[in-house]
Amino acid sequence: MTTQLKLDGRTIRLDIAGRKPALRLVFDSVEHEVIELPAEDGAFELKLDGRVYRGWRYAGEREIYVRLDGRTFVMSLAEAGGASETKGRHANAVRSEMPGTVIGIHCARGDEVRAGDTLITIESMKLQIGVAAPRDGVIEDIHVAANATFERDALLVSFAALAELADADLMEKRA
Amino acid sequence: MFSKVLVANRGEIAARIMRTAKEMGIATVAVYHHLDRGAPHVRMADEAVELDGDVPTKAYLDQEQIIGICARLGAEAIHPGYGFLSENAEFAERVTKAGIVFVGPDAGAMHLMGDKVRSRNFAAEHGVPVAPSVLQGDDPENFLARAKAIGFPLLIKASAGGGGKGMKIVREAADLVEAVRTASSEAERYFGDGLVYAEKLVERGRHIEVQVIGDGTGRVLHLCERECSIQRRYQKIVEEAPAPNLSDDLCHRIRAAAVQLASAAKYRNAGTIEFILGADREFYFLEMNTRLQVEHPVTEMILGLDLVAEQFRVAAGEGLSFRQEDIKPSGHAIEVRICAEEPEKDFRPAIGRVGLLRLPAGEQVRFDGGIAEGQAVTPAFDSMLAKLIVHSGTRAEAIARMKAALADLALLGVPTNIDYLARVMAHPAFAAARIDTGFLSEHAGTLNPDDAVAELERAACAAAALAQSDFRRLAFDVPEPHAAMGGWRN
Amino acid sequence: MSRIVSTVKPESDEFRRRYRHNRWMAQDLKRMQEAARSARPKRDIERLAKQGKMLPRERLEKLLDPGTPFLELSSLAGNMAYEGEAPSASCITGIGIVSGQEVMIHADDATIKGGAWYPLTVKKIVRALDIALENRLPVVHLCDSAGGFLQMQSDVFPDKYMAGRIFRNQSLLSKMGVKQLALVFGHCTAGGAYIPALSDYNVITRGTGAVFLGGPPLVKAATGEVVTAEALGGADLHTRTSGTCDYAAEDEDDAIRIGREIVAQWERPKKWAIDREEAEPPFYDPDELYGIIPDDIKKAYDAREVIARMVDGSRFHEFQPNYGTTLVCGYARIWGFRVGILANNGVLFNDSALKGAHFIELCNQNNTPLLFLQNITGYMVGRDYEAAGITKDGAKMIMAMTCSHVPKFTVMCHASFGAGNYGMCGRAFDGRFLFAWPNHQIGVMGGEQAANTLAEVKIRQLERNGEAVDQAVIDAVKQDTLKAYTSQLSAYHSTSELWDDGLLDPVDTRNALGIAISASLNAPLGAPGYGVLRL
Repeated sequence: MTTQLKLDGRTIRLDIAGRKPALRLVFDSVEHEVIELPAEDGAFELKLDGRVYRGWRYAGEREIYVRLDGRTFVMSLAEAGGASETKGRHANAVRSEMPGTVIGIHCARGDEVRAGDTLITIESMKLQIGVAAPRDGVIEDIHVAANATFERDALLVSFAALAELADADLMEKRA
Repeated sequence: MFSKVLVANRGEIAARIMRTAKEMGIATVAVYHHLDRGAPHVRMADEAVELDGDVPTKAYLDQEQIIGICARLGAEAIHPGYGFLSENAEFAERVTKAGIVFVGPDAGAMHLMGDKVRSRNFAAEHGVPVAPSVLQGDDPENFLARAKAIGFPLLIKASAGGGGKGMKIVREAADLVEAVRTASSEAERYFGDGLVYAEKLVERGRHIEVQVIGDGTGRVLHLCERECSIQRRYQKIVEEAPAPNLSDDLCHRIRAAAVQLASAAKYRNAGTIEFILGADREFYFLEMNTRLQVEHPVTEMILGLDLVAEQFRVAAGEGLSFRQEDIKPSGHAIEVRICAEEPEKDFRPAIGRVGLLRLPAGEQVRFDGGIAEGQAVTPAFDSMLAKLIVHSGTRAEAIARMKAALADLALLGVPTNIDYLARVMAHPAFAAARIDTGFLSEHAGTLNPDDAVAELERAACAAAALAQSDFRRLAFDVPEPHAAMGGWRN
Repeated sequence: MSRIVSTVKPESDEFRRRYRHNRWMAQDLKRMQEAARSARPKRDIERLAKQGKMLPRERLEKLLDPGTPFLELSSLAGNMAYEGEAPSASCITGIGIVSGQEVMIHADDATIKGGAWYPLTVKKIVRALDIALENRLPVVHLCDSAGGFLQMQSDVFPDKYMAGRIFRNQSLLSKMGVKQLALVFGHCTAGGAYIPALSDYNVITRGTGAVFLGGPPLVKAATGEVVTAEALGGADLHTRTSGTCDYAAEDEDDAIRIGREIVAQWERPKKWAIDREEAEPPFYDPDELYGIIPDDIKKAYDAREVIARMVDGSRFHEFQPNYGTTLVCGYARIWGFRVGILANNGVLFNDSALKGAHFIELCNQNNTPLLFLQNITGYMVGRDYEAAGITKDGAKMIMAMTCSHVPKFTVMCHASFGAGNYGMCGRAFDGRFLFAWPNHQIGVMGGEQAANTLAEVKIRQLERNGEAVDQAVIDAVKQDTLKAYTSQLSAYHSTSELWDDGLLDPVDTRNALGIAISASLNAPLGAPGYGVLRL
């Protein structure tokens, strides 16, 4: 297994060649010895090939920020993901997990939505349930109308091909 | 003096105002939107009241709620900070009518200066130089012809605007029609008023502004000038005081013009008059900001005074603590604005979280922040997170101090312009004070990050990898004897 | 513990001759392994690439934790069978580290006949699962198999140790709480379908992965239904509708990522607390083994010289150094684990057999795993020895060894002939692992002995029938026997038949044993006890 880091759009492959007596990491097929030294919370101190590096670091939701020598490195783990991340990543169709009635529609055809946005509220077995977008994307169509009843596994909403949220929109929101 | 004030703002400026209030023994009331519930200004305040409202920025603009809270909690004054309601004449008037003191100028001065056209006319009437311009509103039919008559390049601006919105540069007559159309539609969108005007564009100009303060008796003092030419998207990111390389004569003329204008307006409390200074050493009035400026700390640093304290004194009717002849600048101060943005991607605003915040220490290093670790940086508010200000004997020393302070500042969890600001500080043209409003675009190439030293990058990668629990498990959770065997194969 | 004092003379002619011979032998082993692992027709490799599939070894490397060892088992299984059609018996098995967990890995090799199982493939998978059962090793199956090789169904399907045994072992593993994960990369047809179905967890790759009892051709033949593989047993069907599979992966990398995350959730088994110290490399360079191992099966070597190049610090506590000297017994450490070593140093006599049985009992009393280093031509024969009870002494050794509750490991270092193979924990005696060196030979007796014995039998037969003894006929008998034995005795033949868990370059023995011992600690020690010893 190879760990991959993304830095400024580049992929950096990081392998472990050995662990004893010290950790040996491989960058671009060259081995480097890394020794971690004790450091206070949020800080790090590493000895890489005998040279000491001190800095600060923070692991965010997706990115890891490293402040070193007056520079900020923003990296992401390309390996991120795993079992839970897979769910719905591919889905173009949002289906109901139980039969019910539509009591609210919160999106429209052509809307750009983000993963987790509530698209439709349904009522089923005396319970109101929000149906969330499985991923970022554009709503292609809504296949149910308000107050309509539907069966389990009914198609509720379909997504168009995945589209990145445009930068301009973020700017717009800021303004 | 007031015993309790409400700060109708958020972020660094709310925290900064409260700091002075505390020093003066004034109790503080914070108002905040739900999104800001953990923010420093909320925690600093003696009392904090949540504002109702779905849209965060609208909550801070909700005059009725804010005045109601003020009355209910018995705050005697409202400090509006900058932005939000700070230049809203209607608000100032309503506050005053409610028997509360508005820390700032009277509504009349705000009304006068709030409109670009009105303020320009007022300046011109009182002998303050204004750039040649024509107003669309005066004679819409012949606007294009009149604009052409000024000569190119021209700047098309929104009459009701600010902040670079609805602004277009026109270099040739052929582009004029289109520029006016887009500027007008932008102005309509942002300000609800599509009227524009055309003005002579001062190219390679410097943005010089003068801090003034009226003591409430009609007397207006100047507090020296500031240099604010380093701008991106027409917004300042580096400011300094005093302005470098200004001859005594020019400096004197600019300050005098500012005082003349503010005096004519019988200006009360703190305000700033902005000028554009051409390469030909001609300067023109741009606008007056009837409030405390973001960059006020550089003035405070070189004069050794507290502008917010003076604002409270004037508002409480106590007058100023100094006279004009006491104003003697010492040394040089620089401020940089720390913004959540990505300079390499056209300064696109960024979102994230303040995951780690470590401040630079040292003499004459000031960090005005309104952020705390754990706080989310959302698109709901302005991207400016904090300001870093340094002061030193000379400009060169101040630059050196700023470079060191920026290197020691760690704000991780959201992309910021900290490294970019460090590159601006390190740029030879900045050191030589060869600056104008085109500085950042002119030097865009040399302000790009250079490639990190390979070994530094490796150390950063190693540190990043080792910050991840998954990678740590991978590295350190291998049992013996396998860990010692390494990648052996048979 | 004192260090073995080596008397090996690396500058001697003999050492250098043996060194050259054994180096060549080790290189030959590497060459054969390399060919078995990667020599495939180009079109087969291209076909896989076109399907977006990785080669089995690429999957394996991505699955393993970086910078960790992999002990491959029986890499040359099936090598001498099926005219070389099924290198490595069409699959990979071995022990490696996945998400910090010691696991057995079984990977199908779709570059050979779509990963179809030959008889020896089944034997190899069953053996891997036997190891998993005996050592309670979690298993990761990398599935990409068309199922049993239909042309050989009678050797794959019906008998007790054939394909059904795979599923029997899987079921028992699950019952014992030993986890299994299957990553479905290709089609898992017929029997192959039960591997993911009987795994506690499984992941199926979208597009290429499919699980079904009968594939589209069989379905069409049986019922006339025309259906695509994806619709019949693809990721969506099995993760949404049938529940046969647990996770759908976007591609093979994703499947491996999910699989690694699943393994990371597994509890770490509590191993039994073996006496272990910080490991220390051997004082003498294991490379010198090449100069010590004889270049002739008839020649002997001093077992202590081999032990010195295998154990920590070359330290050895020898038991009864002056008694039964043809069997060297004693304690040593391998990768820090204490082991009791029994190494042949000549023919087994009564005293050496008794010493061996005694030492085996001591190791059981001391909870110390046993390591047998075989170089044995047999128990001593002849009237005096029979009279002294060599057979019953040998039986004691076999009884003590068989009934041991501590794990046993065997390395075939050189000769393994006759009943000595039994007493020294041969394949039949359920040692946890059995490895062999490429120079080793195994048989009921050596080739020359067999040739001479059979020639003797022939002469007696001719004489009994009153016929003349034609030397040419006798020579022919000798030649034929020698030839047949030579090929059957060879290590490559034994490993092809899975009589061992793989051939080792002698210098790799220490690491292989370290991994094997570590694996064995997952299973709790049984209760000690012996049958009737004929005293």
